[in-house]
Amino acid sequence: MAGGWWFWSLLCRGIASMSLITTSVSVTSIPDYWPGRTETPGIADSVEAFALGRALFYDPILSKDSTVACATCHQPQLAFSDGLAQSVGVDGRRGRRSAPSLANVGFQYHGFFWDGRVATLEEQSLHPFRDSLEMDLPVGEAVNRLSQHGDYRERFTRSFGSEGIDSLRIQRALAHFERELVSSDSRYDQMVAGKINFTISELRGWAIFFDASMDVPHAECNHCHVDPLFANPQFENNGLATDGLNDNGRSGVTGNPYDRGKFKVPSLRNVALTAPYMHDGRFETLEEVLDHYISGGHPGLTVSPNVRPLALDEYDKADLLAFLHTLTDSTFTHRPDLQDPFKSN
Amino acid sequence: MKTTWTTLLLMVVWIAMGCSKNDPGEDTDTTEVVNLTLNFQGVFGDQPLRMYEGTYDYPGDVDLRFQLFQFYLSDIGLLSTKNGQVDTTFISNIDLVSFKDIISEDDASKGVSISLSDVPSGTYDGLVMGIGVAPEYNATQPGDYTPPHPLDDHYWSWARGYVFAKVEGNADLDGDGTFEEKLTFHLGENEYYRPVVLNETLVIGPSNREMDFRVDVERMLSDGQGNYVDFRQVTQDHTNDRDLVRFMMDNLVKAVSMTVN
Repeated sequence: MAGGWWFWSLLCRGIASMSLITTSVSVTSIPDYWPGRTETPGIADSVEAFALGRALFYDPILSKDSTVACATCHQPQLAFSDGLAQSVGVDGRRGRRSAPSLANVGFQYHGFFWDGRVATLEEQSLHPFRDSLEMDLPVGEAVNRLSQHGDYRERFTRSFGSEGIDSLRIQRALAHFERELVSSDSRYDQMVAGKINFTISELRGWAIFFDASMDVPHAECNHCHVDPLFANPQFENNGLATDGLNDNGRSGVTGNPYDRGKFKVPSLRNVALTAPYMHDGRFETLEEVLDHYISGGHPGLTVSPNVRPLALDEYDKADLLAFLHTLTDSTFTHRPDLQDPFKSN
Repeated sequence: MKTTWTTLLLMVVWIAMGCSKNDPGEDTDTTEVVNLTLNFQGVFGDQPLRMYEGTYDYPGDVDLRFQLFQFYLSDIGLLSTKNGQVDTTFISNIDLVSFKDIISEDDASKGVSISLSDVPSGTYDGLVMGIGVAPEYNATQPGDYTPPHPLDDHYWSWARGYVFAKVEGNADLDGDGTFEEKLTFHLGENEYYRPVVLNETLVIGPSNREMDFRVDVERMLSDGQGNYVDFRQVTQDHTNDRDLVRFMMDNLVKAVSMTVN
């Protein structure tokens, strides 16, 4: 294990300086050094709209055969992912890609889905309805069902200040709930806030992750996975093997051949809970993911130069994994008001 | 067209002590304001700079391709001299000049542009700007800005600062046509912020709404005197090798020139 005065002083300096810009983290608070969160337009009563959005998120009547809800592919205990390589919709239909975690989705300003084909969270929220591989329910039919079901009419009225259910209100209520999926109380956040100390292994993994010292090997993670969200707004080709696969990623949206093989950079928050990994779930464990990056990935014209062979040994991998596990936020995954309201009632 | 290569003078101290500052819209020669576009043409020596498939000969019998070349510009201002005093009219706080999407020859001919509004018309004696992120802004962080904003990304949280410039690409070291060596150079930290002055008479008005710049990435990688970043020795730096970062940032100052019509 590498060590030395420089390494440790750098760690102390970095962590101490981060602590200066952080306020205390509570269950639902957003640290003041985080970017601003997007806002839902047209919500008259945010508490009502949150509860409405939560109900819609968990209600399977919004799928063709009333078996699939948003929460089917975005489960709270898995940081709002589903643990599958390809998500499964109505009639057992298998989708093309893995469901991404929705943690902190309210801090994204553009580029939703793996290929960034949708610009806003509101717009995103209705896509699974229309997708024949997901919920396969025309939005008009969704409106009809909600109008005739339970107290949804009354709840829409209370949420929006006037009577009526329509697609715009459905997407706003869903987006409003999703913006509350804030994960900001991981062990990492608690360390940054000065509430806890990392173990030696976690500290060293932190330095490896951020390329923060010449006394440890660099893992190059931080070029794309930038804190506090551990993501960035870009689309990258990370050198995955493409043999036999037919998913052009971002270029399917832009038509730009130089976007081929590029996918949205996902957040690593709660990454220990969101297996399997990559857009197609090809890696079942974090160890496999690290092995991919250590190999430098497969060559290709658009592969990011930041994906390069890494000089990490088994000790380095163990420390890096220890750090990645500090991004797990069990407060978030167990937050009562984010759970299924139909079960809790 | 005349290209000025050597009029980049470091005048930071002089400007700080001898000039006064005006915000856009303050009185200069006239109160009329226009929209001003700054055009940046990327080149590698005498070739247009294109990402991905543009291939460039480099010292040491190396061929290069690029995927990203970008840098920040801070505190762009127009200089005017009155009664022996230099006034600076600042027209922009922070901008990111990125050639990331310059892929085709058509893209390369168009270059990248920065649009500035409310620029006072008038005749100026030069332009001042900082290459990199000025310390004032480098003390902020992405969370201070609502996207999209030039400073909402490209930040080293552990070092509390922005990446002033990035050069990323690939090198063919053995001449086999395979660009197998990956190159990533990320430069930052206040020590390497580089204020520069371009001394040139500039007329800005309704019929003069554009300024053209040339940015030579080859000049950033070599000093023109036989010294260059040797990709057989180094393929990556994140502002760890201080001499290398100083070399590249000093060269970047000279790589940016104004082209005057």
